[in-house]
Amino acid sequence: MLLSRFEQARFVVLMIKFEHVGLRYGIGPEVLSDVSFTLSPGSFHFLCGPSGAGKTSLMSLLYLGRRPTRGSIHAFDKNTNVLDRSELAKLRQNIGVIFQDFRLLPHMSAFENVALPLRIGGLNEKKIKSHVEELLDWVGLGDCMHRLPPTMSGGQQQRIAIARAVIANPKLLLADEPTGNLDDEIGMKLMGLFEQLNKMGTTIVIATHSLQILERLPHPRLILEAGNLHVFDPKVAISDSPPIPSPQTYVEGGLDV
Amino acid sequence: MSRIFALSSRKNVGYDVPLHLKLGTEFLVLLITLMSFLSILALIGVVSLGHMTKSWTSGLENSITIEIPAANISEDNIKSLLEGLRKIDGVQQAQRLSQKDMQDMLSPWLGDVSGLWDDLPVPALITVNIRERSTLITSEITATTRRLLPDANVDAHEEWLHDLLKLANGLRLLSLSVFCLIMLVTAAVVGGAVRSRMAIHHRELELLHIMGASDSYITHQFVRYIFVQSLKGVCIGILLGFATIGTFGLLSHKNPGTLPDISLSGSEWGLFVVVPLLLSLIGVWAARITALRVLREMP
Repeated sequence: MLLSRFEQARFVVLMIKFEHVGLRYGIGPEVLSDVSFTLSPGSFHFLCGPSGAGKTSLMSLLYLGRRPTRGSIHAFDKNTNVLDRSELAKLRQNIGVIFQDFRLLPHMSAFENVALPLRIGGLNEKKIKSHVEELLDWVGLGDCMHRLPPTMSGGQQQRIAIARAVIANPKLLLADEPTGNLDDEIGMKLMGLFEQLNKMGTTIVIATHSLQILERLPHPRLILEAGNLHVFDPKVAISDSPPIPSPQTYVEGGLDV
Repeated sequence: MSRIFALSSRKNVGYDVPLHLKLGTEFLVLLITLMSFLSILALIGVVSLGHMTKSWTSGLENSITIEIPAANISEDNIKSLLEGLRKIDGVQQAQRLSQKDMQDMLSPWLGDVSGLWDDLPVPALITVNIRERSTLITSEITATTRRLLPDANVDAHEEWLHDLLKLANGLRLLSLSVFCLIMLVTAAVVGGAVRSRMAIHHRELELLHIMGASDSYITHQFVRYIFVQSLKGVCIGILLGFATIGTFGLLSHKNPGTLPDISLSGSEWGLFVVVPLLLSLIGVWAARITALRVLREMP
């Protein structure tokens, strides 16, 4: 199932491309100004920045939850500015999102929560059952798939949220502080899972403020500061380039990411 | 509609948006029950007025009354007038109203007048039954009467019938207006309920959008919810309506003449089922329009 996504991802030339994107709410100031970057298929990025820098707004643009007030966003080789609502909805089915607060539907069982993206995608019930049961077994929740999320522990809820985000084999996986509520060891294990998914072809963007993760994993970083974005890749940093920002500069001092 | 049943056939019949969990569902069912019941009452108005108009007109439409003033009553003149009238083509029957019929007719106003009858200046009345009302036959009857009894007065009931039908049609129009108003109120109530539910479940709707749910997918959830709730309300409303019709029929049967006859034909019974169902469809339509409109307001 995941391999087929890898095959599909190879045919997408452009995963995400932001060109001079600006975003403002109502008549307020711009929360994102002139943001430009490209996510190529199969890439892995961290999104960092202090609180109020526009991280949540950038994430909402990435999962096509809103349209930019200026500039253009290309997703999966399509200019999203010219797509209508139904075309945008179809495009969103290629994106999996893991929220910091999980955002599980409390009236639905773990099974139903994970099955939701497949139902939205129109898959038949028989296939939904087999895919969801297989994945819930894989994340270790095979025994409690019919329990309601409020009756489960935080860790179990997080696994449901992850399973829901990956069940439909998204081409792009976005995670907002996925390790925020976990201890370091489990957090690193989770990052291992994301790396595994990335190796299978899924493009990944993770918003994090975990120093440990940023120091250990040398993936490119999208650094947001006061609505402006800088891309920094630790792997290609050279000696005569501008000073390399250490993770502490955009994480420390009680700053949220 | 097939989508609604496809969704219902799912093993888990729950909604992605927890519509069934919040308070207010019973209130919505109650409102739709009331609206269905009111629509049936409005229909009873339309149908019974139709029946009343029909019975009034069938009695008067094909008859003409000739009134001969008391001073000019002569048995020979009346006899020759009756003979003249019977010769007109299209006249089925022409006869003088008997003394007993006249007394019965006057008794509600004058009481028992049998002892005073000879002293009362009561005109003679002739009822002419015709096959079919037309200007030609009315003119012929008038001409014959004028020729044989110039002082007699021909009353074709046209003015009275016209006023009666005007009143009945006005009342029917009023009942239909009430019915349309019920439809409008139902649409408004359902629209309001859907709008408030969408505001309550804004976060869930946003989540479904993020997962790639189209506006029509989300709208179907609300349409299904309204369809099920309105169907419940409509069924209860129909039962209440039928109970009312039954009670009305029973009272009408026990007290003939005090209540209009609403004995229903097969198609009219069907109407009393179809119309509330139409109300349910209007609710579904209102839910769909409202949900799509609210979703378009979302980013």
